[in-house]
Amino acid sequence: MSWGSRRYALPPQLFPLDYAVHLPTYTADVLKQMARVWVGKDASKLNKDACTKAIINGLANPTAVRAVIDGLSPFERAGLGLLKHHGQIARTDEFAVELFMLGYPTPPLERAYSYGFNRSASLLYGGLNTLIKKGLVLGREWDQGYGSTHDAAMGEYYYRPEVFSDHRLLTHMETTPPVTLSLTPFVAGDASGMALQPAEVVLRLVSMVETLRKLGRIDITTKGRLAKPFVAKLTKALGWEEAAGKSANAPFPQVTSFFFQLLQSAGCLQSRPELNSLEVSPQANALFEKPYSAQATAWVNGYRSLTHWTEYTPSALYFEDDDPSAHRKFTVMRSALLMALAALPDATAWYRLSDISDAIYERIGEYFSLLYFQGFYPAYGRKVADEAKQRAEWRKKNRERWQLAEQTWILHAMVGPLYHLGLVALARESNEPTPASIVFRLTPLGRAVLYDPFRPASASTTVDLPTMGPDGPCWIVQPNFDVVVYLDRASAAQLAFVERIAARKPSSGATVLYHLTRETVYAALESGITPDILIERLSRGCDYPLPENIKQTLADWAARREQLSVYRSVDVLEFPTQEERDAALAKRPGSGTAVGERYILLSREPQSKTLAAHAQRVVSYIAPPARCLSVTEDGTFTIAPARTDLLVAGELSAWAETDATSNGHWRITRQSVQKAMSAGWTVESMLENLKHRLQHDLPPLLFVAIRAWAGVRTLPTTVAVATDLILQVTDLEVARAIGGSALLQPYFRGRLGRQTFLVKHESVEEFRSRLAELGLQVGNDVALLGPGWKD
Amino acid sequence: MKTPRLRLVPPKRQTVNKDNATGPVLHTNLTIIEVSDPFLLQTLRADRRIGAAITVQLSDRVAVVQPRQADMVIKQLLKAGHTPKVIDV
Repeated sequence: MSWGSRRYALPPQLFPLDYAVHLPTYTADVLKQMARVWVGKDASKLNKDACTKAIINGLANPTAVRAVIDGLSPFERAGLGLLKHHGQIARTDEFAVELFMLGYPTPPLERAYSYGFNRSASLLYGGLNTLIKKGLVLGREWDQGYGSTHDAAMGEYYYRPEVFSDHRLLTHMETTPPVTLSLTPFVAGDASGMALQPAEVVLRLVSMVETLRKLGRIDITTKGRLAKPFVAKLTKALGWEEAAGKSANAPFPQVTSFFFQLLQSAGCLQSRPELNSLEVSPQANALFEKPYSAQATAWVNGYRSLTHWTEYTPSALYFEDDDPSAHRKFTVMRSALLMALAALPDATAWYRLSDISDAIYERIGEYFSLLYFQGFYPAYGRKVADEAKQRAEWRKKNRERWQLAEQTWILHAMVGPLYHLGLVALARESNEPTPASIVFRLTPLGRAVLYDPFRPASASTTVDLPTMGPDGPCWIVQPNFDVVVYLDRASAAQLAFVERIAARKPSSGATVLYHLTRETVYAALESGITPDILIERLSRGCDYPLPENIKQTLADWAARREQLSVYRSVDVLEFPTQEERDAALAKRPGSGTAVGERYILLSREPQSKTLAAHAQRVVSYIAPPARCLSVTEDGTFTIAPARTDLLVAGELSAWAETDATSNGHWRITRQSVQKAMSAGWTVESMLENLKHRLQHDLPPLLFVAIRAWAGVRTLPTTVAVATDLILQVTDLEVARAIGGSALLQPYFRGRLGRQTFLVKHESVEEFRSRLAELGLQVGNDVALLGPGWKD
Repeated sequence: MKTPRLRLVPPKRQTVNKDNATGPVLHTNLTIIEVSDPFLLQTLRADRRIGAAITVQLSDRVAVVQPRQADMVIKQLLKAGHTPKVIDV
């Protein structure tokens, strides 16, 4: 199926990263500008097809490609080098701001754009659009667009979330380091600062992954946010919020949410078959096995594109949190900050946070704001001197706004995610928690991930990053069940293992303290670790031989688990006799296990299906229970053999008695109901059970009797015996049950009203005992009848 | 007066009288508890909450749990200090 003919047939998909597919979607005017790069001024004489052909042929010709590259400006070279660094494709907003942050001179932007609405968007994409107009970079199109694109430049009315370039162009490009920022290093006597070691970061992420695994299904809302009950459960299970939120040095509120969103953004979570739920993907474990720098690169890329989480939201900013596009401003700021860290003059020096904020402002502050962007609009016809004065005033106000919103955001980003991902070290110039007092520098990991990739290996000195430890000894198991893990020697796999088998206790620094409990070991065994593997891996990672009491206790806990098994969703074959069951099992060994006298617990082997195929009847317990009971008014139950299942006899035995007089019949009595009540049944559960099991409605009198036996309601009935007998029932429901009862009809001579009956005097005593048997307390007073008694 | 119209009536199917059926019955999607010691099963049945969900025993070591009550039973077992091996077949 061609890409063009997919319209309406399939859901929309992005085009492949191929110029040949994209170019036909542009109009001739757009293509003429692009073709000009390849064939010069003659491009204006070409039609659409000829332009497309010229560009495609140019890209296929290495000499033409080399000539085009030689003619590129430093900005264009750096831009294509940056796209190569991203791997041929990048997110539009992030790439647009990174182009500015590279620091190479761009074509004048203000002159090129009008005073129109959303001028800020045009300014932000200004650098990117110079590449797009030349066809060096293209916006990635969808396969179901309408018509041809009149203007390929990004803006308010034309936006594509991703941009890419042709691999034949990028092959010849080099990643260019950004122009260094004008920053003065901070020099102080004590610049030790604080930083997280890579192993500490890995531990935190491993903890998150293992906790998510333990919790199982991750519930999300239809809008893609975490469901609140799940957030509460996850926060409680991890217990990070209190410590991280109150940290004096690097407070990090919403740390749980951040690391969860980071995992999701880095592709470590995947959708489950059920709607609105996620689970940890197998890719997460593979990522933890990689070197620290590779892991950190994945986390940085995930952090840059985070949605549903923000470091800090300025009070003057309004945005819909559920709208992913609302987070684009924050991804832009993250891209700018990460690129600024790559543009530091010295990767090992300390810098003031306020200084880097100013430096970022110098590069993007006049094109972008987290808040509503208030651009500069020179009045028409104003003198040059007045315009300069007006511009200076605007710049001053704009910088003040930046310091209130963006600089505060940068402070939160540095102290929060960048510090907790181990990318920057922090120190304080003074005790005041202001951006001006905080100084930072790149950690070795931060340098390896953010700074060095933009520089050739020969130009930068190599960073000594700790290596991921092999699966050697890295912990000590103490006889009191404490496990002390040395982070510098532990591999990610070992951290994941110990997270699964033990509970982490509050600790910091180079060691982490865990505690083995029966519950944690049980959870580990339930997650699939066998007892042998548990003891073997714990011994292998231990610096000293595993204490004997630990070995013995672990074995005991594992053995105890084997004493009680719960099988979910198994199939059982029931035979009429034990002989038939044994014969069937002997004929097909391996098809299942004999249980009791007449049952086979079927295995998942193919031969069990053959055995199951001989079943005369199939009862599924996913479906509602079979209606196989009938009951008379006196409480005698009969089971229909053709519809019965395994459970009905057990249910009946809970609240009825076997009828000794007739085989296969049950009877519900006052004693049986009271026995069931004492065993935990409620009258509601009994009646609900009957409702689902009976083939007909429950007789009203029996309904009343069961409730009376259960003591739910005392049934105030009043009987007055005159020459003849009058039964007066004050409860209308009971009166209806009595009036409709075939069992009681022989005792009545007639009915005097809705709630009053005339009872034959010769059967008074028998009637009285019958009522008592049904739980109806009989009194002696007659109430005065109202005027409507006949009704 | 209307003339009665003849209708084709399909012959009745020869149905097996299942009341007299004596062949095996397949019970699918059951939740089962198996214990190593019969006394343990008696203890579980004596428990007010767990016992209410166990209505039938297939043997002295195997019992059937009421449908849709498996999660509740597992939760109660854990609460009672047991460590059941949960097998999702």
